[in-house]
Amino acid sequence: MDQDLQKTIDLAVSGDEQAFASLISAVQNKAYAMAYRYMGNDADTRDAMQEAFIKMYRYLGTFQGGSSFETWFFRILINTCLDELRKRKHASEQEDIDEHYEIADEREGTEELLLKKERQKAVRDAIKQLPEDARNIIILRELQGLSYEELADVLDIEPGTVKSRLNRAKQKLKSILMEQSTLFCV
Amino acid sequence: MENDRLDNLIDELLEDMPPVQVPTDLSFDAGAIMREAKRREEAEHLERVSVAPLNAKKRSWKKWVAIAAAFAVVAGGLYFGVGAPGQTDPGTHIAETIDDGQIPLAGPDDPATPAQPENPGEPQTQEPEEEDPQVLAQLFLSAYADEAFVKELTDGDRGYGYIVTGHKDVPEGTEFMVYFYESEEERSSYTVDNDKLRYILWKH
Repeated sequence: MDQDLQKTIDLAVSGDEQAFASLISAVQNKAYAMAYRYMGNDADTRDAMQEAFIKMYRYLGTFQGGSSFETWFFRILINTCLDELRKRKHASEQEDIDEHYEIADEREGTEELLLKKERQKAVRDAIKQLPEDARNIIILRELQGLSYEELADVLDIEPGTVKSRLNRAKQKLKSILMEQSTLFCV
Repeated sequence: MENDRLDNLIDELLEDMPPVQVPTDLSFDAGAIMREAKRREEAEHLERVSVAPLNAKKRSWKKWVAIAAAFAVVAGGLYFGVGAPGQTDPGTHIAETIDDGQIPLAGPDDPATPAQPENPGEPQTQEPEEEDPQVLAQLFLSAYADEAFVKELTDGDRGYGYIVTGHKDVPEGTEFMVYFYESEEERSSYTVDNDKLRYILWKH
């Protein structure tokens, strides 16, 4: 593990606020983008991140450097997001207001753009309906661009199985889209 | 739409999915997060602890539950009493309530609860050797601030928590009688094996 990182972690574990703040800063932007893919709106994303940072601090002393710090934290974050979604499942429907997705390329024709946006929204909705393992792999690989190695590390799965899992996840996604959206029908 | 075309379309849509825009005001209060993490850790540890006075055999399970609850309330009050200024502070109220002696330890049907006498002139049925659970809980919490004492408890914990059944003053400080649960069943039923009670010394 990087000596500076180890020193920062040690300081944070011993109660140094500035050190802990720098650990948060190092991961927060990427973490926001990742958590938003799960939570679907800004408020829930921030709540999930706050919760994940609390867990990060509690378990910081157990970080051994077997994986990168970022990967270690993303595992915590993903589990936190999934926990939060499970809790809310029975309470109320998740609200996805898409406020923080950047606007698609304006150069495309209006009709084409609208269709694309509708289809992308349908894909996002379908991703939410995927089983957790399939959802994880689609979000992390297809939307967050993690490499196969990173994916295997974050999800704690065999690197050799990533590709086949990804294919299976895409097939499930396709089935949902074909069943539920006329935008993808024959 | 043919299967291959649909596969390609989904791939394209995923690839072109707009990135998430990270808000510029995104920031987290590291200090507050650290405090909350510590509070939870402490609360989780204390949740596994219960305190009961002597003569446990005479007590109904209702009383054990009530005593454990009283301890949890006292513990909560102690923690929250030192919380950050300005935060919602339910524990402060709890602590004040304890000071006023308003915490019910058990229901009115429990003979172990000292009730206010209707006629102060009549003799009261008492168990003089019993400890007041609130006093025991407060004393235990004072001891709990001592790292060496906490370490002994942590070392003895078999993963199911423990129950403090009493204390006695010794020349070196205070000895707490502690039973470390050996199973979840013991913990949930507050079962204590008196032969396995341990004496944990708080030096003060």
